[in-house]
Amino acid sequence: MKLLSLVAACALVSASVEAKTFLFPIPQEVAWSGTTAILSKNFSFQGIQNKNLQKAADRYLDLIKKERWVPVSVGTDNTTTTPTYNELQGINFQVSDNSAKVDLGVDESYTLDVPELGGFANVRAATWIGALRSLETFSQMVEAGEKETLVAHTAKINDAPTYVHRGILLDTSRNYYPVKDILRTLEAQSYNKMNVLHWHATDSQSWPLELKSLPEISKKGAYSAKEVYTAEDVQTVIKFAEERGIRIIIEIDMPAHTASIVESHPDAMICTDVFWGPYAAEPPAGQLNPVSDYAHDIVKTIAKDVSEAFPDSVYHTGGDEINTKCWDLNEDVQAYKAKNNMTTLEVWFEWTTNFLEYVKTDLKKRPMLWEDPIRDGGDYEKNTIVQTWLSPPSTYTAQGYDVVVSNFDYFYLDCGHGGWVGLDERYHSPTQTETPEDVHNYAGNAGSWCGPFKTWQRIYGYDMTKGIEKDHPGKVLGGELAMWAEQTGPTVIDGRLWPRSASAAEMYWSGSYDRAGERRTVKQSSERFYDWVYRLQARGINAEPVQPKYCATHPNACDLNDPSLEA
Amino acid sequence: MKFSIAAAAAAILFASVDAKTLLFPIPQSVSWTGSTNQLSNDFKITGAKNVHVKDAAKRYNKLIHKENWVQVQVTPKQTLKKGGYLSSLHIDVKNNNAKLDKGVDESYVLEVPAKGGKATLSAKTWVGALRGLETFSQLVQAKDGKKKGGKLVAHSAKITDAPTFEHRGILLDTSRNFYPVKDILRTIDAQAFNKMNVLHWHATDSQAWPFYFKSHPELSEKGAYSEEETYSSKDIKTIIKYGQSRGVRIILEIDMPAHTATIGESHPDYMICADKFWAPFAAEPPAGQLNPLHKKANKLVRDIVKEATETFPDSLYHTGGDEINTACWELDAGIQKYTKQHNMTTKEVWFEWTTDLLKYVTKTLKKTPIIWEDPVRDGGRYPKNTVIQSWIDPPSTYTKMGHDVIVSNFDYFYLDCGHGGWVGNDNRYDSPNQTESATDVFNYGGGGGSWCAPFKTWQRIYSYDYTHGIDKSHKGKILGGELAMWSEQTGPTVIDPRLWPRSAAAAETYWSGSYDKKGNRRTVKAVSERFYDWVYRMQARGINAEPVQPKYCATHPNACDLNDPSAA
Repeated sequence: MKLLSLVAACALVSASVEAKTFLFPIPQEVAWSGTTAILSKNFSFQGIQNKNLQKAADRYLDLIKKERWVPVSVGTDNTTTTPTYNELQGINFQVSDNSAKVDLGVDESYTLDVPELGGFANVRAATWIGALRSLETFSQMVEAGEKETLVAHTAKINDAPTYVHRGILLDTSRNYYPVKDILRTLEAQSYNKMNVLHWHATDSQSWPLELKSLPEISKKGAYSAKEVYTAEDVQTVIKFAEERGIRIIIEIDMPAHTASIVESHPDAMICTDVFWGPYAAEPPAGQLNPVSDYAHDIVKTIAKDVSEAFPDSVYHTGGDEINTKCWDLNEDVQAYKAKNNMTTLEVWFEWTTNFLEYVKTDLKKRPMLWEDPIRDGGDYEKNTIVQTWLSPPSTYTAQGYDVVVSNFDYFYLDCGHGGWVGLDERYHSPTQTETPEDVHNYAGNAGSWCGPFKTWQRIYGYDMTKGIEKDHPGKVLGGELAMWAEQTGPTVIDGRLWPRSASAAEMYWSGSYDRAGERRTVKQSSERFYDWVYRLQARGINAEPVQPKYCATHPNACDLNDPSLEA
Repeated sequence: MKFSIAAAAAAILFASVDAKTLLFPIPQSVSWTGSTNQLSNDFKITGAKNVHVKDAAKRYNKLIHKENWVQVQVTPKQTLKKGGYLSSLHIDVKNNNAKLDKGVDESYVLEVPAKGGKATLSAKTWVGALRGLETFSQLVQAKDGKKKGGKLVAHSAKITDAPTFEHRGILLDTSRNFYPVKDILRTIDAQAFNKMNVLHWHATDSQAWPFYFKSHPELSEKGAYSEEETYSSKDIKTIIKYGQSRGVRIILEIDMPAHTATIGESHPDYMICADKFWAPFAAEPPAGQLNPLHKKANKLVRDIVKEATETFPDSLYHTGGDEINTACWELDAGIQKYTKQHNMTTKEVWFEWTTDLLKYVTKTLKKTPIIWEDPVRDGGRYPKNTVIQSWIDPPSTYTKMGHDVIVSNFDYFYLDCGHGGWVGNDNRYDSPNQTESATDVFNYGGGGGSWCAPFKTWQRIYSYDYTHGIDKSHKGKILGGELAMWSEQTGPTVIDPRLWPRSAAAAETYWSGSYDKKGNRRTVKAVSERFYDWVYRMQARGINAEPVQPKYCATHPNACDLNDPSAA
């Protein structure tokens, strides 16, 4: 008798499979049962055997009570949800591996069953990190119910990431971010099931990272004593990230993008005393000397120090935007080239080969590298992870490299806010009206080399599988949005990162295609995405609005084309 | 004996006239004495009689101690003479009862004597005294460039200052997305830091009607996004009062007869085309315009305008009037009949409606109307006491016709531009090859979905010349300008960085003018070091201004220039 009624209920339920909450990023498989259950006042967790999972469970329980979410987006799904008033007592976790390391390729899959009949929801996950992801999903199934209650929409969810590497690059050199801003960014990443913060810690403008082995570099190269990440700060960031299943991959960009080393070690540098224009991609100029033992020692000391401080198995060696003219100014480089019959580019390739070998063999880390030296003709060990920003990722998967995609014309979040170099007269329009020859100010890029601004729609439109053939020996590990900080800082970081990073996060987690092979489109994700913007804001992330609120509450009224005319 | 020492000291001091703090916007005339005075422990601001000046004196005295400013921008090393102790700043105002309104005198003279003692601030009106207090705060810095110890110095100078343009504003759109009152108040504070004096409150539009009217509470009851997203009578008073206390006029705009679709929530019969998909009938979603021939609709318009002009003390009232879509009105049988009967075009119906409204505002309500340029641009002609706000055409078009003009040209002053598009289900972002192609002018080097791209940078805004094309023979004049913060893609989470520091760049052109007193054009080159420091100072004052460069550039003057300065 009981069994029978259960079967009948299931049949009814399956009829209204579309009843849903707005999940973001969308799980791989969701089977809604079309009912809601009430969260018990004594909602509790069972089966937790990992301290980070316990902390997360506590955190999410606080969050769902605090946010009491009421969707802002009005959905186009008209199927009704039946409240059952069954009590959901809690979540029971069954985690196979409670001591997995947060690292490249760790299993993040989970199943989440929120039963119609109440009782305990069930999570099964291969690792505790997968269980973290299920908690995020569960929080998105909970909404404010009648009176003081919270209700959970009941469903069976089967989920796993499409890509293992789902990240944001944060540049803390051009402008400094206090630790609290980095932590809030990690929190926002965890809401979006992202798992990598690529910390582009240093660059030519400032060196905020304190090194035990060479403390003078940040002492002299940081913007100020306050704008430094101490060893303690670094531990705080790593721990906060680990608790949320996020890897911190540190990058100390070398041998270009290092001018700030000149403040403490001028003898290791070339061309730091010349105006930047001919010698660097941006101000100021200055590259490490590639033929100096003194400079090599510094490089190795730094890489050793940093790779020991960060537990991840991947270490980002940098390697972008070498300016050969800078090196050519130096007599030792000239002599080395002449002696070895090498071009300046070849000096760079050799330097890179040696450095990658050191990272791999001595430091026991898997190196990650900007695509530049390969694009320019260098060839490296295939266990090197290539980060693309210019060429299609297939260029490198074909060569056998694994790739992290950050192509600038999709994923550079700094683009489109004009230029920042000084005394630039190009903004001046003598007639103050549009002219055909003024391609700077009128519909042009107004000083931003990578304009226009990358919208969430543009980002979402990227197909991560494009051009990647089955016979390519390398694969796409995932992607990263790049938050270069020339024109950003703590005052604007949230609005610049979010919600655009969420748009990428869905592509990274859910993939550009669903399990049936259908392309995910802006059209389908819109109502979920719009609601997610408001929800991120409610969770304390100052995400930028993407539309008038009117559009969220009037589905399709703000479409570009009349939906009634569409086939 | 004493006298001659003072004279000798003065001579020495004038030799180092370069000693300066970074003032923003730059006053019309600054004579630095080259000395600094330490503020006494019991430094006071005295002489304030007007309540707003009294409040401002307290506020600024607190601010200078709290900010304890240390310049971020590195400037050439200065040799500073030690002056004396500055015991007080004395304020002397001729007219303490002036009304904060169009054309009120905002000039002031500020003198911080070389040898300390008492600084003086004289102004014709209390509003000028507020401006002088802001300037004084910018003369004050932490002693020896060190925050520790909390000692302050004021650079000594004689400053004579007055605004170039009387109308220096920001338009804030609170319809597309709602801003809590606290964000509006913070914006007013930031405006006061920049000597701006107008907040143009574009309160309502087709997306939401957040503004409460006593005469028609149903408009916001049904048209606001939610009850919480409504400006109550109390909120409105708070905003007007806060503006008043900082010398910022609040000019209300209830945009009509287009941009009114939200009225349809409470009065559907007053509207035309509110039931249509937006595209053919409105500049943006949703469609819906007031019926210009509907008697009750016109009664509603008059009720609203009457209450608005009574609530807001300013002598200017903004009647809106932009972006009429004639195709919308032509859907209505009554309009079709009317145009036929009177042998009029639909545009002429609009012009007539506008004439009647302007007449009502001037004759009955005794206010000076401001109107968007649209009906004039399309051929309508109106009394010359109507102030025109330009957003498309050069302002000279209208000064020539005899109208006074407020400049908001979109290709300089629209702060929303450059963040892509916001309409839904737009497939143009898709690039099949995911690489640049000559035919894809949307995603590569194009507007990326923003109709008015690119993003208007501070450099671009600063380069606008208000005098361009304005001839002496023109009967109308430029009153000033407004930056427009349309809110389709902004809200409380991003308002500060979208407004600042770009509005500051405009504020200097509004206050100081595009030319200095000698007739030299103010350039990005000349302003940069002051501007860069001002970005950091606004941030320190609690305004989340957007960075415009790596901090490295501020601390390494000219190292980040586009061209090698030594090659110039």
